[in-house]
Amino acid sequence: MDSILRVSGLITQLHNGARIVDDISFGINAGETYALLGESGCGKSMTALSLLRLLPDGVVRAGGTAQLDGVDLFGLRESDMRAVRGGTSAMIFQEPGLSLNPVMTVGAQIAEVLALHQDMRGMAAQQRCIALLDQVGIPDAARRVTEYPMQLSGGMKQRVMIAMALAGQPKLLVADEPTTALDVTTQAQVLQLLRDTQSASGMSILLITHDLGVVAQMAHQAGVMYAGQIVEQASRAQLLSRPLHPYTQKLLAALPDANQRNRALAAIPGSVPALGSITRGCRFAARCDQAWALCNEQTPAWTVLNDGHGVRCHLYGNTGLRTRDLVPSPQPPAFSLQPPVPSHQPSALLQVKDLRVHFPIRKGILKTVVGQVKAVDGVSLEIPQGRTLALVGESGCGKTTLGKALLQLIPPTAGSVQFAGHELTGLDARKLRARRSTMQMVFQDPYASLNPKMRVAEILEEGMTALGLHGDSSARQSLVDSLLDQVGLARISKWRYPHEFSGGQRQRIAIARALAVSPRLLICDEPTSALDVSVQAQILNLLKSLQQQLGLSYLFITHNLAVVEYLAHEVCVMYLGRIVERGTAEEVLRKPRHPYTQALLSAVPRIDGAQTERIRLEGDLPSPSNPPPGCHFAPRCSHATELCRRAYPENKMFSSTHGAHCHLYPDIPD
Amino acid sequence: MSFMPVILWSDALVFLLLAAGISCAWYVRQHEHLLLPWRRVAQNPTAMVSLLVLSLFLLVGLLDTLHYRVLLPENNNGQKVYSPEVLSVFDKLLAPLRTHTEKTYSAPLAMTLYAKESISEANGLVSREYPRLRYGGAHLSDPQQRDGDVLKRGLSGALAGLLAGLLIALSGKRPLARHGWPVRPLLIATLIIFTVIGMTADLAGAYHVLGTDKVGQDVLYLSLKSIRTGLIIGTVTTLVTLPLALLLGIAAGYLRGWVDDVIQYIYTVLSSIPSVLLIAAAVLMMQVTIDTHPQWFDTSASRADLRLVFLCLILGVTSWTGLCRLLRGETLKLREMEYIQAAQAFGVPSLRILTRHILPNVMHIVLISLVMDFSGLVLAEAVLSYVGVGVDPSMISFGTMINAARLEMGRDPVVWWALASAFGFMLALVLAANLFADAVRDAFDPRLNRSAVAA
Amino acid sequence: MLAYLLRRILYAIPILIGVNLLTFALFFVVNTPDDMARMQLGIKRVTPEAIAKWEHQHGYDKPLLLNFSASGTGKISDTIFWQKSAGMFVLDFGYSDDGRNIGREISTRMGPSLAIALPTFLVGLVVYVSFALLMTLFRGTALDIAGVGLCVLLMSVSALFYIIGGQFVVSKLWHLVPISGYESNLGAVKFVVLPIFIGVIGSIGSSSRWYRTIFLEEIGKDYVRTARAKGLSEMAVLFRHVLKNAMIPILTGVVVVIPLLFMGSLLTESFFGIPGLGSYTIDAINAQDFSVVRAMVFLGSLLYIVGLILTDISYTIVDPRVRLQ
Repeated sequence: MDSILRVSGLITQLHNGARIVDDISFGINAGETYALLGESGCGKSMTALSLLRLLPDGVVRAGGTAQLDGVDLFGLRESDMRAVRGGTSAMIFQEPGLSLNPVMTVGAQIAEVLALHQDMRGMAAQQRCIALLDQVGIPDAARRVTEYPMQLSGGMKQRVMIAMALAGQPKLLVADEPTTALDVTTQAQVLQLLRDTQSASGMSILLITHDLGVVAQMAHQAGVMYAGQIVEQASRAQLLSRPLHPYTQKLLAALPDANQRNRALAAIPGSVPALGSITRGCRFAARCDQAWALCNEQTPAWTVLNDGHGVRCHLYGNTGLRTRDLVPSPQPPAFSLQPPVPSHQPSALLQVKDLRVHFPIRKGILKTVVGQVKAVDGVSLEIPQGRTLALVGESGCGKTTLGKALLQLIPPTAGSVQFAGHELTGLDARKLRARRSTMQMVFQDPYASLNPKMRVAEILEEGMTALGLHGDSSARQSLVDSLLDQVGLARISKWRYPHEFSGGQRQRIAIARALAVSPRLLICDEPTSALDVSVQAQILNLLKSLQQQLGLSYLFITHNLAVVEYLAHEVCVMYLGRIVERGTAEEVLRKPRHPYTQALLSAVPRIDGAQTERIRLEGDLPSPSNPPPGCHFAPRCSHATELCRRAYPENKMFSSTHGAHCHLYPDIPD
Repeated sequence: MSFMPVILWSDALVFLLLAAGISCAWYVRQHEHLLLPWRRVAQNPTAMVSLLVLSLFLLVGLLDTLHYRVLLPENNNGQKVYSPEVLSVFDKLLAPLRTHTEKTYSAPLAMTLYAKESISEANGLVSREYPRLRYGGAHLSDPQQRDGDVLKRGLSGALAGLLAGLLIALSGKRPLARHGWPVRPLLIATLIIFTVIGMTADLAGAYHVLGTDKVGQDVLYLSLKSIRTGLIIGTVTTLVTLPLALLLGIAAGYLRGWVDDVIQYIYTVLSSIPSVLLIAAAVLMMQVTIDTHPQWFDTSASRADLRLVFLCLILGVTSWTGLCRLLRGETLKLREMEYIQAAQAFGVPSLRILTRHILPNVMHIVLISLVMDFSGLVLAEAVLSYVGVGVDPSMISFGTMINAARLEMGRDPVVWWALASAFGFMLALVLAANLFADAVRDAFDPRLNRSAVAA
Repeated sequence: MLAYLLRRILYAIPILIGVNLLTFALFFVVNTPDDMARMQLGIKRVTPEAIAKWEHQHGYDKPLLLNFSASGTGKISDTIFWQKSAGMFVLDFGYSDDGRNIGREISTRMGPSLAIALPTFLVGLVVYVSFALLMTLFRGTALDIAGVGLCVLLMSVSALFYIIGGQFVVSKLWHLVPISGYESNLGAVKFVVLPIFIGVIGSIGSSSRWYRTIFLEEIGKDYVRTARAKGLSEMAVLFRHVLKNAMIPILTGVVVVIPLLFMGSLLTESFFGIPGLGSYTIDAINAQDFSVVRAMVFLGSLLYIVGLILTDISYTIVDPRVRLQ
């Protein structure tokens, strides 16, 4: 097969000589997708930017060659290179919201490409823009072409980016994390669009991603990057069924799913080494449980096995002493099957009834209230002691607002929140403070959740001091020590500041901070969504073992269904401020009843290839300020009937625990 | 005692600032993460050379802030009588410069006045010639010797300065290098500065190095005295700006609601008045008050000083709004940060959240804005004094110097030295302040840091 | 949109009232009318009769805020506050302390002020933006570093020296234009050239550096990378994408000063003897004419608020995000 892109020996480095991309070689065949897989900071984006010569200031390419369709990219003059960019090779980026010019219409931005590379102007260009928008599945393209990016949803913006890329009829599309910023249902749409476009136009795709699920759906070939190098390269099937490099093996094992429920996940200890810090030996050696002396001394060479599977590891090289006696990595320890649910107290720890959080919309000269954003609109739920309830939903469905309203960080508009029988809503600050210690929160962004100006010890002590817990300061200090032990951080780290820790370590500190006041319920708001897969596994393991030890309850707010499968006992699915389906994890995830749950589940890219038929969702999440009449999901639901558009469905119970708000199911008598 | 220490209002405020500055520095030294950005400043050669220049200015300003009144020989029925003239330690050090006043203009290093005068000689003849100066070059009998004498004094002074500079530089070299400071640029700057100082000092003993002005005062002395005024305007103003901006900005951003509305209203009103006009109006009203209450002041210095302090006050009132708006915006952003919400989830009281979480995280903005404002204030003083709404006309400042000298540009031949030295001294002060401020901003602004890391 | 603008305009009223109260407090509460009369009359001629006469002549013999001796609306209107301040809202500025109609002075002096301020503003904008674009285009190179250094140097020089130096070199040494003065109509050209030139040079340092910072901030954004990835040349990226987006922060600082151009420049006008509002203000300050200073304060804040409203309008033109909200 003829290859469209051939990269060899690519080196990209900082001005100080630290190598971000270190000697990378790969090729992409015409009409195929090559996925570059890796965790954050491994140099995969810089590889892509090096190819198009779009490196940011301060980063330079220091070696290597790249042939795109027979043209030596690095030998071109800058003016000729401009014909390649957007012409032979187009690129789309991670943040569609930031990647479009906010003050130019969508049409004008696409027309720029047409004028540059197709020499098309005026009416013809206008027509072509509309056709392109139509092609990427934007409804009402003729109107959208005159709109500005801010008028489009995130998924729409990424479609516009794709249309812009297609405008130059590229032979290679470089897609840098094209779906990372999108919700899972939107991600499924965009990935489908990329596949459709590829089969229609025969272009190749260089897909950069951290998501093994995306690789499984999209790639023909894949390369795994670690610390600036490609450590393994194979076809998708080879990579997923028989990963060779210990890093790849661990990445696959670190993915949470239902099968691992009662086991700890295979987390990779530590984090990715700093740029250029390792010059000798294997870069993964420090985190590898199969490493031996040679790995630290000698840099492993690139080894290609008979089936074309390439790997950079001493286990497979000629120098490796143990080439064939592959030791299977030890199974992670199993958790005890039975969660220690206190038998004497079956009643709910947290009981929420008909909770509402509405934000007024003010307009006009006098800023009068003209409407309400119903962020949380009548939510009821219960969490028993020692159990995990997962609250699942896409961005904008109100799940974070709900979490904050439970903690009374946002005053609820109506409804009741009872903790262990005590009502929390409407308490004054002093009475509320007395209840604060029972319920705490772990936030999404570990970089924003720790005050950069406070030492770890001060951060951990803050809650105890504010709530007057745990006696004097020496008692608190010893508690700080034991908290750090508990979350797996060295005691010495209490004298350090947050910026000295990695994302995963910061999340451990955040968890320790919440634990410091001995809460019985933790509200975890997407605690792993900002973390890499290997670090996510560490945090999930930690949360699970803490639940075992301390009998904690969790309200786990997430959009990641794989995490739900691994962690949750019960699941609530939220759509536009309301819970549309609830039940045990088994019930909701195996036998979803609500069409929205079904769509959500089918959109998750799975690595086992056991892809159920995808249910495509039409359009985007409606605005919570103006929800559709009747069932909120009706406008996007393929099963919707006249009744759905008219009346909001009652809760239908399928078992004593499983229920959904949907007209599809007849009332089932108890 | 042969003198009585005098603490003018501005002196007290300077001491207050100094104490605040020293305690801040001590606090920063105790906290590694606060020291970190300062280390970045310390590694910047431009910043450190600027700081060296600034600290010389500061030294002059501080010496000029220690005021006293001399005991007069006569006494009033056993009661001590002090001179109405308030002097400073700096005046004492430069006593010759201060007291050696000529009759009128003389050019730099001149031995004669700048204009011919009719001199009636002993024999009754009246001739027009350049009269010799009373002090400038008075030790020479023959004007022909001047060039040689200037050269000799200049060289010997430069040499002495160079030696002194070398001594200081060599003793400071090792500790500087240990902290990773830019040794070589600092070394060179020290040598140059000390050479210039040595040369000037030696020449100033016998000449008016920068000439004299209309009433015969030494221009070098005037320029040096102007430094204190500029520094006070640039720094004491912060005592007004800082609490107003910090308190109101953070309160508006954190509490929102009606507090925010009221504070926004206040600063919109204040910033909508063109600041020059507001200052002019306020200073005019102040002048009326001062003029109608002469009994408040025992010396003319204390009257001029009150006007200076008041000018700082009114400059502060007109200039806090910008910082306040910045801080309000930043606080609005910070209050949504997750660590603030985590604190709220612990029931940490608002005041504690403000002091422990918000305040430390806006301090970099405060610092950057203060150092950036300094040079603007020094420049503003000159303009305001020129317009007549700045410092008291009797107070020596760059503005009053320029005001007095500007008509001289119309003379023929032109009298350029007073303006030139005001220009030179101001440029050195403001440029050093600007360069230092840039370095501070680069070191403290998190947005700029990120690009520096990538580079 | 319209409601938004209307709200902004309504919001201006309490601000103007605030300005008025503030100036009123400054002028009449800090010092009593007696003090002012003494001040104006000079120390020697102060007799109670002279003070009373002066106060009566200038309308300062009324109560400050409320007149209890008057009846009806007179309670409010027959006071110093009402007499001296209320008229300003309908642009009736009253008479100066030496008896001239301030409103007429303002309208005749606006012309010369604008003749200098407007060209300075326009030429300056073009020069500063071009210089900043040049530095941005060559960012990181020696040219950029030298440019920034020049900016810092230029902004460290007091405006006074630009004027004095410019007058000295251009007018006195080279005799290119007259040092100062003004003529109406075309004759004005030779008098305004130098002030405009100096005005532009005077703030080249701070303005260009500010614009450069804005451009650099924009150029680091993701959409610029997208534009480059399309194959656009660096010039096209700068002019078509960066400049358009940078307009938004630039407008914030620029539009608000446009109405204030009417006020003229205090320094320039007094140095060059331009009979504009700036020199009018300076003369009033030197003559301690409080009525004129008060009128100028009010006029200045009125124009500033007009500037704020214009800024809001300009946003809606430039930024679709504001327009479409």
